[in-house]
Amino acid sequence: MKGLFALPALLLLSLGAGACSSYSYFDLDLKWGTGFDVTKIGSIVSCHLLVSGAANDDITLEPGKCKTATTGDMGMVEYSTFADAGNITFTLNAFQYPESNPNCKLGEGSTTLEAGKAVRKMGTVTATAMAQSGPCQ
Amino acid sequence: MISPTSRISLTRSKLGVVIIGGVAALMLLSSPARVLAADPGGEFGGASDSEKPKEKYQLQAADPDNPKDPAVEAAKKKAALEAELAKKNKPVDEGPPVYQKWQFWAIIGGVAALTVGAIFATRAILHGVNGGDVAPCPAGYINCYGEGR
Repeated sequence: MKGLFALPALLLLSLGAGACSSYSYFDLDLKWGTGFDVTKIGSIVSCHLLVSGAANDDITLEPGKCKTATTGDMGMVEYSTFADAGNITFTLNAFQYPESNPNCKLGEGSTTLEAGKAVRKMGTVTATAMAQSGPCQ
Repeated sequence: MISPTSRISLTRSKLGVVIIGGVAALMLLSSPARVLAADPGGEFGGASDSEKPKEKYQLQAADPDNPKDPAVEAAKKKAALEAELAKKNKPVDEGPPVYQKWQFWAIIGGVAALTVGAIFATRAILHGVNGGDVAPCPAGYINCYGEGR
């Protein structure tokens, strides 16, 4: 009879002891940096925030927010993850259409932050403009 | 001189005495015999149990003097069989059906409540184990992404 209650209790204890997941939060300030003038910012059709390393994601940012940030400061985004170890790299990309064409990539910038358990970290991702080697068609 | 009438009266008195004596003697002789006949193994019998075998009695059912009537026996057997059959087929009074008892519904309700509680508790525990609720998106942010969003 004792075993009947001991097993679930042990299970709960083990779950509570170490199996719990905790959110970690990364507050990222997204910026258009060097080479991004008003014209270039205005020509952005799509922009992505790629997450790699301890966490992996491909976030499509709202195009309207990307192209209207003519001051170069797009604003803050928050990224939450259960990753509690390792490094996470955040990469900001801006594209013209079609983004499958490498010549349509307008710029890129990244930052790497260390993951931790139940932490909140801040970072800045500044994308710099890229020289286009060919026409974007 | 004795008169003939006096002789006769003397003779009669003697005869009466003889008769009374004879009767008394007969009574004395006959009374022990009666007692012995009534109690052959008793104190007057003089013989013990071991000495004299007991008379074997037979049951009335096996009494050859009272032979069984096959029809009566068959009727008795039939009646006994019918009584047994009636006893077996008699419906047992078990009261109302189980679903009409409050204990049944109490148990059902308890089990249902425990099940629902267990489901909610499990979900809550699993939700907590899986990180719980994600923090609300801070005000002024463009948007929030990632796990739990």
